[in-house]
Amino acid sequence: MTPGPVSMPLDRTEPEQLVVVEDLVKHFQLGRGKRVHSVDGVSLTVRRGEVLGLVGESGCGKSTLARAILRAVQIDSGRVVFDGRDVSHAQGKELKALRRSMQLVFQDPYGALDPRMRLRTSLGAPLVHHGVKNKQDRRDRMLAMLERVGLDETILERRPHECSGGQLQRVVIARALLLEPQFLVCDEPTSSLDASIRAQILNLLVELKDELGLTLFLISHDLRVVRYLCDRVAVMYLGEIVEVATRDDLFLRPAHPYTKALIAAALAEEACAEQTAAQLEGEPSSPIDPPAGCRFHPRCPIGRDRDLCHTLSPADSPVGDEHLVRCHFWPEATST
Amino acid sequence: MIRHRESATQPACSPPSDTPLLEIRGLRVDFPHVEGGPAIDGIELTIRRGEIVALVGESGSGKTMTALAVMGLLPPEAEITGGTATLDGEDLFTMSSTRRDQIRGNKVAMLFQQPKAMLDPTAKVGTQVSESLRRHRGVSRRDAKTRAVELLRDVGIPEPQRRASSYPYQLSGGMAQRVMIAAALSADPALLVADEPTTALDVTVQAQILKLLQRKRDELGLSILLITHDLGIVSSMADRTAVMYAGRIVEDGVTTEIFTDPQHPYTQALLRASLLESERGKLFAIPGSATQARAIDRGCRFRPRCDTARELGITETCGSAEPTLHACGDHDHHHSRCYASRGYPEVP
Repeated sequence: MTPGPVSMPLDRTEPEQLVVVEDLVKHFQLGRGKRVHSVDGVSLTVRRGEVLGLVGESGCGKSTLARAILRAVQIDSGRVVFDGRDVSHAQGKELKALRRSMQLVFQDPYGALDPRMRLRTSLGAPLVHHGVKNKQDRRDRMLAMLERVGLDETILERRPHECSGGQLQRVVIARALLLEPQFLVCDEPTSSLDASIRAQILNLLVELKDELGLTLFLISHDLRVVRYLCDRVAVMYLGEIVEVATRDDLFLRPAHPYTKALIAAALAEEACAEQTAAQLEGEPSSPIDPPAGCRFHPRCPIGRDRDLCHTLSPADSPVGDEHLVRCHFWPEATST
Repeated sequence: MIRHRESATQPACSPPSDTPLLEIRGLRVDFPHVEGGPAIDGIELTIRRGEIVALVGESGSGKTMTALAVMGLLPPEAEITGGTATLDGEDLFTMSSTRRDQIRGNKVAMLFQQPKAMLDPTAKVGTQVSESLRRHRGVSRRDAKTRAVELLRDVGIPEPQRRASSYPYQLSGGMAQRVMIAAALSADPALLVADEPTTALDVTVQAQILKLLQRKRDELGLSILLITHDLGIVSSMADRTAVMYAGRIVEDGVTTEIFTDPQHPYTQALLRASLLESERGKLFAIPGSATQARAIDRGCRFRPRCDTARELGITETCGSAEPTLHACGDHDHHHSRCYASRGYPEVP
């Protein structure tokens, strides 16, 4: 395949950056002039070979951001650059090639596989779509990948209802990896699984990442999973990234009050600590009509009563190397 | 091999009173048309007044079936083939359907994992919250409305007046679960069966809902049967914990003891697997899956996945006969179903 003129590398991506998201906006129209501000000006980079985690509450736009990167939804404005090529405006053959190198693992494996198809058909579909015409060739590739994810070939003749959740999640991972992508987005890959199976799938992801040199983008609301798996973590709140840091910085020195509250809520049992001051009141505001100023201010222990937070949206401030936070009063949040 | 444990009704921990509210004895539930052994195989469970008892286990272990059996909501394919369940001395399985209707929503209520799916999408929130009051207490329509607003306020719903006339689709998941709690507690039941009440919710909201349930226990002396696979929730909520595996209770006891001194290899493995330590390295995972375990009719059902049996070289013993649920040590508030547990009577 000859690359079209659009696929010339753009000079702005450095080689170690695999995905660059610039000022991405995705709103959904609701009618009567209402819009859901799902992703509102997100800039983010994913480096080659790293595991980047994205955490946040449901409805904050995590999945929409991932889908926008994969071009599963059309974005309103901004830009996504994958491996030097512009994803947001790619067309035809170029888009198809891009999609081949970016794959998605879904949260619910039962929903991701057609209940009426044998797994052989589901698993082979991406190969057929991407032009692997020889049946034997397809079968060989499937068997090799199944072995890699720890399944044997008997599973090919089964239908989803004949398998356990853990087995199906392995099938979904195998299907995503059959096209040898560089970039794998995992949207809550373990949240529908039991604790004992969760550990198996996480081990598998780590193994595959090392063996295949994958770059992972992991979406999760389970901070323990994120802490285990990720090199860097981004925290999302109501369509915005409010903090980005390396894993250790984020968990040991969180700067945003929201990050602090999330960590306190998620890891409270572990520390056997009483969930005291850090516990958040209420639920996220509506993304249809996000609050003015800092979007977190209605729930924020620091900014709830401050005029600045009510009126002015904070800019990203550097806390340290590779650590950005979007909060007016982050030094205060870090010290308490 | 079902042991009758009269002494299990002794108070094992401080707050709850010692009168049993719910007693399940030797409960067995079968799906006659499905292969693979009974869904629930002779479980024993006692819940005292004001006590929170957790039922833990992987999906398919029979937790939800136990809850549904208590509620009289088993699917038509399922059949209760043994055992009894008494609520306040009344046998739940033999009572008339009229009596059952009187009890449900009134003496025992249930919370579900998917609150939004369990609310009627076509009825206003206020109507649904006060349904039990109208039905069981004969409250007038007008009073029911007022009570509904009070109940919604009590579970922490902002603007309860306005929310009472909302429809379920206008609620967030956390809000919907609060509505479910208000509805479940409206007729002041003695027992609340909560089946994964926070699994579908965010961590921040999860903490709020659990706090609300604890507050209700303290205020009303409510008993809660908490069904979950999340051990983190259990440790912060439950007075006692029972661990289920493949339709059996494999360990039960006071929660702190289960967590600090687990005796059954399955409990130990579950605790280790749910830890997710922050250090990179291979996570501990329980090998295999529980899918086929219910079909094992001889010996311990956890044996194919059990490292302890292999390490101790007792796989043959474990395969020949199933261990009984026995007391660990002298006291009778910790039981385990394993030959390798402390205090096993005599290894055959």
